[in-house]
Amino acid sequence: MKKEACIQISDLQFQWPDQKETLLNIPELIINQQEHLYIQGDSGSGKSTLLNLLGGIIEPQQGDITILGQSLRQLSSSQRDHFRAAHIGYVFQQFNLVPYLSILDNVTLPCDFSSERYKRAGASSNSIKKEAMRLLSHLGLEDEALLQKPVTQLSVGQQQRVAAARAFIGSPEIIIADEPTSSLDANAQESFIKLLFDEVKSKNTTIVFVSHDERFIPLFEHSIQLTSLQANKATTLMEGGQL
Amino acid sequence: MKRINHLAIKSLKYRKFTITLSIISISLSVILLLGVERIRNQVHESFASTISGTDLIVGARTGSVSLLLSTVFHIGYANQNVSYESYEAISKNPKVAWSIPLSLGDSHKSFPVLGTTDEYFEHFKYGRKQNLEAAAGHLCVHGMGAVIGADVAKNLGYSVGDELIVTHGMGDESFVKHDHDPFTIEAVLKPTGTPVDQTVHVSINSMGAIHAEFYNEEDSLAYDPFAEALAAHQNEHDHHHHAHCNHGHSAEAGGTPSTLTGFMLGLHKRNEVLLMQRHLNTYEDEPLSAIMPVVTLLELWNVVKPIQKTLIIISFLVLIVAFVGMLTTIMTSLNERRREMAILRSVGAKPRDIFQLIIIESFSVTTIGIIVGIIILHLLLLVAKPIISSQLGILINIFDFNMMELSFVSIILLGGLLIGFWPAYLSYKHSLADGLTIKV
Ligand SMILES: Nc1ncnc2c1ncn2[C@@H]1O[C@H](COP(=O)(O)OP(=O)(O)OP(=O)(O)O)[C@@H](O)[C@H]1O
Ligand SMILES: [Mg+2]
Repeated sequence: MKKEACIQISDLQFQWPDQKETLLNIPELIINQQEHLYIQGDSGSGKSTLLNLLGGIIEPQQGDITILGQSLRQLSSSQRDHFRAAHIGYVFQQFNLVPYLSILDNVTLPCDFSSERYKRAGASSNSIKKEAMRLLSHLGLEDEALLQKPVTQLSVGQQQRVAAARAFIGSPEIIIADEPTSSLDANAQESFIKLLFDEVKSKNTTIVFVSHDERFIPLFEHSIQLTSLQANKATTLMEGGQL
Repeated sequence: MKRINHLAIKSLKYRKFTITLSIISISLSVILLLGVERIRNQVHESFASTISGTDLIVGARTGSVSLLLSTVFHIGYANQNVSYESYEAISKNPKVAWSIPLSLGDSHKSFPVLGTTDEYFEHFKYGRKQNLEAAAGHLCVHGMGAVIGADVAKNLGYSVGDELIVTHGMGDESFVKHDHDPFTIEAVLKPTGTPVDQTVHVSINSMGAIHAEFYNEEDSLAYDPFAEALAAHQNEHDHHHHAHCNHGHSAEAGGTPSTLTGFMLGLHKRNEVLLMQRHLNTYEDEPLSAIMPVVTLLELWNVVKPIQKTLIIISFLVLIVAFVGMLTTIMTSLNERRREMAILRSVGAKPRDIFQLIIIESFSVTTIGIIVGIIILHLLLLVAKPIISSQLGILINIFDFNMMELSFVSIILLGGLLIGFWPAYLSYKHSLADGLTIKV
C-alpha cells in the first residue's frame, strides 16, 4: 500500500546568516502520512534548524519544502505562520508553556491562532475547553486541583504533557517534537513517547521526532541520521528502527 | 488582533507587581504635570481677571508691582499714602470719568478691610468687565454698612444683618479694636475668584471717622482737622447715586480720611490713559505713581513665570523618569520572554503579533497610568478646591481640560507609544532570529 507523502523536501540548502558553510544540504526527504520518523543527529548538526524550516519559520536559501501538498515557497511569511498554526503541533525540549496562561489556556492556545484547529477541537468534543480536558486526562492530568495550578508550579513531566496536549488539540496533521523528553528522567522519557503514539493511534497523524539520543530509535517505525540526509548521500529510510 | 490583546492583558496581570509600579510612576507624573498646569492656568486666569475696566490705579510713589499688590490684592502695606487733596483734585480732572478712593490697613479677623465708597460697586469690574454682584442684600457701604466677600461670609459664617468689628492693622491679634463701632453687614457678594472674595468693604468715611474718633479718644496720634471739613464735601458728593442702595444717608458717619492708600480711575477716553499716567507720575504737588493695572498684572505675572516654567520642566523630568522606569521594566522582561515568544511563534503567532504584544503593554501601562493619574488628580482637586479657593481665592475648574492639558496628555500617550517601539522592535527581531528555539 502506497501512502501519501506528507512532507517533501527537495534540494534544500540552508545556512544561518552568521554561518560560513551550508548547515543543511538535503537533496531529498520524503515523509509519508502517518509515519513516525525519528531523526537522530549530534548536537549542533542542525536538527532544530530543520524543524524551523518545516514550520516555515525560516526560509531555505535553496530548494523547497512541500507539506500536505502545499509548497511553502509559494506562501508569504504570514501565510506560512497561518499554515503552521493549522497543520503542525510542536513540542519542545523544555519550558513549553506560556507562564501567564493557565493550563487550559496553554492547551487551547493553537485554537486562538487557527480557526481550523478551533473548529476541529470543537467538533471532537463539544467545546475546545472540553477537548483540552479530554486530552489532558488522556495524558494523565485529570486532577481538578492540578488544573487550577499556575503552569510554573507543574513538574517538568507534567509540563511536557500539557505541551503534548497543546500539540494535539485540533488534530493537526503533523506533530513535531524537538527532544521533548530530554529534560525527563529515563522512565518518564519512554512513557512520554508511548503517550504520543497512543494519542495519534487512531488518527492520520505524522510524527517527526528529533533527538541526539539513540536510545529511542527502537520505539519508532522509521529512523534516520541527519548526516545521512546531507549532501549527495542516498536518502533511504531505514525500516524497523535500524540505522 | 483580539487574541493578542487577550494575551497582553493576561501577561500584564501576570506581572502585575512591576506593571503596577510602572503605572503608579506614570500616574504620579501625570498628576504632577496636569496638576501644575491646571493650577498655573487657573492662577493665571483668576489673576488676569482680578481687575478690569479700571484705567489707572494711583498711589503714593512706589513700585508699580507693590502698588498693585497693595491696592488690588491687599497684600503688603503701602507705607506712603496719598493726600485727600490730590485725590480731590485729580478726580475733578476733565479726563476722569470716575474715581474710587481706596483705604487699606484695617482688618477683620485677618480679612483685609477696604474703605471705599458706594461707587466702588458701580465701577469696579473684574473678569470680563463684570460688576460685583450681591448674593444677598444691597451693595451699600455708606454709614456703618459693610459688604463682605463670599469667602469672608463663608469662613466666618456671616450673613446680612450680622455685625462685625474692624481691627486696626492686619491679623487676628491686633489689640487695637474699634470695638464700639460695629459695622452691619448689608450685603454678601457672589464669589468672584478674586481678592474681593476675601475683602470686607466699608465706607471710607466711616473708617476715617472711627479712626478719628479713636485717635481723638486716645489722645495719641494727630487728628487731622481736615477730615471734618472734607467729610461735609464727601457727603454732598455721595448724594446722587445708587438707586439700588435704598438706605438713607442719615446714618453716614462724619469722618473723611485725610489720606488714602490710593484710588482707581476710569477715563472718558481710553487713548488718554498714557497721557494721564504721565501727568500723574509727574504730579507736582505730591509724588505719585500711576499704573495701568493690566500692564502691571502682566509684569507681576512675568515675575512668577519662571517658577511655573521650572515646575513644568520638573514635571516633565519626572515623566521621563517614569518612562525610563517603564522601559526598564519592559526591557528586563524581554530576555526572559524570548522563550514565550518562541512558543507563541510555534502556535502560529506572526512576528508582528510579537511586536504588537509588547507595544500593547507599554501603551496600556501609559494609558492606565494617565487615566489613574487624571482620576487621582481630580479627586485631589475636589478635596483641595474649597481649601484653595478659601486660601488663595482661586477657583479651580475641575472637569475642564484646557488645550495645554490635552496636549500634555497626548504627549504622554505618544511618548509611551514611542518608547514601547524600542522593546517591541527588539522583541520582534529576537523572535525572527531565534525561530522556534532559543539559545540562552
Ligand atoms: N537562530 C539561530 N541563529 C543563528 N545560528 C543558529 C540559530 N539556531 C541555530 N544556529 C546554529 O545552527 C547550528 C545548528 O543548530 P541547531 O539548533 O539546529 O542544532 P541541533 O541539532 O538542534 O542541536 P541540539 O541537539 O543541541 O539541539 C548551530 O551551529 C547553531 O549555532
Ligand atoms: Mg536542537
